[in-house]
Amino acid sequence: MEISHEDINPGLRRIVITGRLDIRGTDMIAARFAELSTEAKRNVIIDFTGVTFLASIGIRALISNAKALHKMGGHMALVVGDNTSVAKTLSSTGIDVLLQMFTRLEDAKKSLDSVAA
Amino acid sequence: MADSPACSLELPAPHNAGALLRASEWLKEESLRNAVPAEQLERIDLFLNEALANIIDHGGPSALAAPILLRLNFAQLPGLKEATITLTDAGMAFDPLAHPPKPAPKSLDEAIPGGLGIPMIRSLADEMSYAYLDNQNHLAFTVRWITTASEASGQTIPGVQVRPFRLDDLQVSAQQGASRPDMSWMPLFRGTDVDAVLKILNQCDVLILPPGTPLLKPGAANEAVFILLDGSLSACLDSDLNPEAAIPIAPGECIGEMSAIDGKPVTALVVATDEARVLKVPPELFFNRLLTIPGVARNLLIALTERMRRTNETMMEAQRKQLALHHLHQELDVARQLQASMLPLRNPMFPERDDLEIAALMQPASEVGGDLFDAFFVDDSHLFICIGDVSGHGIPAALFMARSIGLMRIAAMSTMRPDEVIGKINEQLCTGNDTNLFITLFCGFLNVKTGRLVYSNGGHCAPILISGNKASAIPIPKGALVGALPGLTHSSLEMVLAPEDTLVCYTDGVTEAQPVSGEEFSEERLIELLRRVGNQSTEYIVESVRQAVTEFTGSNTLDDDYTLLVIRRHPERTMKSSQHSRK
Repeated sequence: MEISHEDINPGLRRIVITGRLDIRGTDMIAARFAELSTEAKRNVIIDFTGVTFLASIGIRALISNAKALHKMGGHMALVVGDNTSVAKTLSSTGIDVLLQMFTRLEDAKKSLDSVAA
Repeated sequence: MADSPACSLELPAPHNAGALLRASEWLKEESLRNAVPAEQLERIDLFLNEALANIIDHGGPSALAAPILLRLNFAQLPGLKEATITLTDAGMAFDPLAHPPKPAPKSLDEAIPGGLGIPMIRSLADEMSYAYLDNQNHLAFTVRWITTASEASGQTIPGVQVRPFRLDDLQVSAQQGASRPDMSWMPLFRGTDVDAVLKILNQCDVLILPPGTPLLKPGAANEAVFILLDGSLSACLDSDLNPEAAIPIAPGECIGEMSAIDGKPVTALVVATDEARVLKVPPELFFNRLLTIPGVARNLLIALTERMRRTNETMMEAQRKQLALHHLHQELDVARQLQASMLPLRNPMFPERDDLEIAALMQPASEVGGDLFDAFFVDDSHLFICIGDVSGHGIPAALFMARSIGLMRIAAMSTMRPDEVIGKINEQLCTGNDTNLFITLFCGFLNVKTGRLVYSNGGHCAPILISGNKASAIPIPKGALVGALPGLTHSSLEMVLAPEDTLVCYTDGVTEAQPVSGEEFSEERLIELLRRVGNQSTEYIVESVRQAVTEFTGSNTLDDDYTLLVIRRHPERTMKSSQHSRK
């Protein structure tokens, strides 16, 4: 379970999560994930391309952070790359309606550029 | 319906997050063993995670105090396989299926982070059931998948046995009793970690194919990789199953890796030639587990490279054969020219003579033929004529024909009796004739001054005499075909060929010519035709017959050679004036 981030520009951060987002994995990164998502008022791209397993607990964390960010006026977008199983889980739970989901990082950037935080 | 035995895992109390991981590991091992595709495995894994989390979080003290039982079942349905996992726990009765689904939130603000587990697992299941029995929750979750081609066809191949891989599958007879199996005879595993490979092979199945059973069929989808353990298989790329084109597969060789790699349909028919024992490695195990063992990927590349080299060599060989065939065709052309040069193929045959008009035609069925004819003067007034047909055609018939015509020319120079000519040739051809070839012959001596024709016959069809507007077969003496039995005597007959009478000698290739389906050209048709064109030049008659036969068969390729020799006498002084239709 790994979580890392890069600040693409002052208004946009990319958080990369890899590994198994089950109860244990989510526990391990939950605090850091919340912190990275909401520590500054900026838009955030969550990169789930490297997530091998996404349980509801992981989605719960994602939604909590998205809501918190939204309240602060920021926006969140998801990148899943070619990770079809994660994309399927996200769409089966309706998350793709709440958060914009992209296969390409470039597209996520473009989308968030148009809604500056 | 062949259900595999269920496997189970008991998670002892007390429960914590570690139990989830353990359950997940167990599920993965069992799923790989049963070739559960990655997508289905992921769905079961997610269900297991969510359901166990629910039991631990919401099942209450009774759930936490008792073990949780996991059971995994597999079933084979027509064209489908299914896996069902059943969770049994002693927690509070809770039916997730009775839970009305929450309306999906329209916006992020409406969304409640929790409560996603149940809708998630319901969307993941192909079937779910719940029962509360003996104070326990029994929650079953089923996923299905379409079986891969070889599994699916396995249902329709009677007699194919499937059983789990065993260690003794690797023991070739020479190493019976060896403590560690030697895998060096399997090119894919040469120089690799035996234990690591075995760990994966232990999760594979072995198929036992009776002789003649196809393993892979062209055009079918295939995901698995097969390794021949024992017996023999052959791969056939040719659609007409030419046994000479079949490539034998030796024990240890890989099969199906190409279609497994590129996902394209199988190109070869792979059939068990003897009873074959074949290891089946499901794609998940092959790509995710086997190929990651150091050395295996390299061995696979070596095998593919060798296969490519072999293909190149086969192609070169085919090209070489094609070239040789081309040379052979060229040689046949030369042979045909040589053979034609043996026959007096020039029309008219004796342009210098006023009293005689002869035209001939020889149409070979193959490049070279077995028909012969000749006409030459043995003295000032006597013309020797003959026509013959060697049984069979092609090169052997052409060589036999060349021998026959040489012998006949010599014989015709030594006697004026046609029955003696045939008798001599018969004796000579019978001597040392191991080829079982023989020839039918009609020959005779024509006195061109008087028109007296003395003739003999060895099994040949009777020539047709055209006289005025009449045409009919001449009577022929009985006589066996030539070159078959020594010591036979032949007899002769005689007739008078009147001025302007025409004698048409032919071989049965004319009358037996026939279309692909339908009756033969027949003697009747030939006689009818000759009646109509009988007053035309001999060349015209030859051409008319050729055209009629070609039109009748509807083809330029012949089943048999045919030959025509058309002889006409002219009154000595008036000859040229009668040749009105010469082309």
